[in-house]
Amino acid sequence: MTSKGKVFLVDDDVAVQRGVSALLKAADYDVTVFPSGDAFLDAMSGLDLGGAVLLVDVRMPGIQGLELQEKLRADGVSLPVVVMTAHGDIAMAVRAMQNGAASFLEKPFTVDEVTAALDRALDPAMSGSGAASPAPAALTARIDTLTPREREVMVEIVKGGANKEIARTLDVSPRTVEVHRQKVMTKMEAGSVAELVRMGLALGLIA
Amino acid sequence: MTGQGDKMESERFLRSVINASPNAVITINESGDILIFSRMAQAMFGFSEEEVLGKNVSILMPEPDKSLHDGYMRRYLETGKARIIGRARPVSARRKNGDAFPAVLHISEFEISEPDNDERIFVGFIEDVSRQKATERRLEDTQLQLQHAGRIGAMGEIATSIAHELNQPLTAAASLAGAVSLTLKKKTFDGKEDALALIDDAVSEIRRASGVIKQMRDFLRNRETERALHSINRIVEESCLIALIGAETDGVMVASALDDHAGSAMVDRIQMQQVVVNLIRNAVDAMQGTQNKQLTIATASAGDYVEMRIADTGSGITDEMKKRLFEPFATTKEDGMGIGLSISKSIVEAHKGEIYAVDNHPAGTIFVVKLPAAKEDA
Ligand SMILES: Nc1ncnc2c1ncn2[C@@H]1O[C@H](COP(=O)(O)OP(=O)(O)OP(=O)(O)O)[C@@H](O)[C@H]1O
Ligand SMILES: [Mg+2]
Repeated sequence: MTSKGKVFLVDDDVAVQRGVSALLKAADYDVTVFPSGDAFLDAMSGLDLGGAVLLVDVRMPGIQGLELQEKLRADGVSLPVVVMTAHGDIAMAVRAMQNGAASFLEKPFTVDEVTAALDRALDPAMSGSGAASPAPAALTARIDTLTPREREVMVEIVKGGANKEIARTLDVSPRTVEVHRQKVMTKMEAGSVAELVRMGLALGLIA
Repeated sequence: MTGQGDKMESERFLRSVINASPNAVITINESGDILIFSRMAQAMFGFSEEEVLGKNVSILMPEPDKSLHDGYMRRYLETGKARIIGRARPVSARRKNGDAFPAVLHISEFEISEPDNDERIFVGFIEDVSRQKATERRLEDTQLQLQHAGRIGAMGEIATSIAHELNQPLTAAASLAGAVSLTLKKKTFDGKEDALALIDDAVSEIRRASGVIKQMRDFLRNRETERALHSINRIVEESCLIALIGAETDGVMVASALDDHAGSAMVDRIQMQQVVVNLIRNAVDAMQGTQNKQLTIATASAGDYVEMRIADTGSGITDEMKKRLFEPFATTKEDGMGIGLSISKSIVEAHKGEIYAVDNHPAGTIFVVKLPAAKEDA
């Protein structure tokens, strides 16, 4: 079986290291595990970064996922990054995306979610669903179908708000927000919040 | 010789029992030499069995115990006075790489009498509690931060920190299960052993997740230090303020019926406010879809108890939900964690109180919290 690509996994939790690397190996990736961002940086000069993706937790002792990502960018290292966040920590995920992360994954994730995110990061021409990344014109056409309220909700989602917060900001009920959210996801043809955030950033919805 | 065969058989049996133990099992003789070093011990300490057999057990301890251990043993053998035998004890242990970690140690003692040999054997059962300690510390930090910021209403913050603690084992378990499923789907499947090992690991991660929940409860239960005498009406009033700030209270009529003689209770003020805030938020949530939105907050003195009642005219609770109401992660809300009532129950029970729900009439729910009344001694 040929490898689907190299994955550098950075997570401080031993059980997560074992679990996720077993999963990725079973899915035919080449996995190397690092217990911290610092360990990865130390080892980096000896690594072949071609055809690889960095899968990193945002919350760790020592250098955090986001800092690691910023450091790599500052050093001019071009390595696609997928960040793992806790459920509901969308704000953190959005920051990572703004910093150029290819995607984010909410823990715990399914086989399909992680492979889609990695494949997309490894080969940006392929999106998780197999289709090419939508062109800006297509995105603009989609966002034009949103009602003003739906558009507002999309902006708040892309900023990283949870339903409750969005409800407060827009002064509507969380249930209403949920209904709008579903509409937005359908109209934008976004398969995941990560994808919606990526579209929002591409469209320049937030600074 | 059949006797010899039996002995070997029973030794093998003993071995497999020892290796199956979730705790590290280590046996030593009277001089402190290691005789058995179970599989779990090898994983915990990072030594292989060959590396430690016959070595003094003190290599598994950081200083000062490392140097003192021989003395401890000698004193016990001479005087029969045990400091540690027979009880579970928190200790500090040392891995091969030199890292010290917190552990709980339980020691038992056996006499072996054979014709040519009378010997005492000590068996140690060791549990690595470093993860528990780290979780505890983080929960404590969150609680402290909340108190400093005065953000009593933010039970969600605790929920977030618990969510992170839970997410790690859940991610590990879900990934391991995913790995098994992928492995089994492969055409050239030859990894039965691997798959079984992955499943074992997944199960132990799920246990770890449930351990986090248990710890969270113990944590809340053990926090008794902050208790003081508080007027129940004051607590309810303050909680009301906190709960209704930032809540979506459009159209909700709030009425309070506080009994001037409701009295006081020995409570942790912050925790009790968390309970009431959570009940009020739930009540408001439940009335989102209903026309008549009446929130009534009452206190009363009821014999040896003081009582708080939070009544709403909302959706009511289905029979299905009633069964699981106080279980962690039982929720009907899109963005709910289902953790509010479970924490509330832990807090109330830690105060030797009671919390339950009854139907309101004609519609809605009443949550009742009863706490032991403080005696009004002169
Ligand atoms: N006053 C109420 N009226 C109707 N249903 C209620 C009421 N209070 C609680 N419930 C039900 O019990 C469930 C559990 O409540 P709980 O407070 O434990 O969690 P939650 O409110 O769903 O989430 P959170 O963790 O954010 O508090 C709710 O989802 C809801 O279905
Ligand atoms: Mg609640």
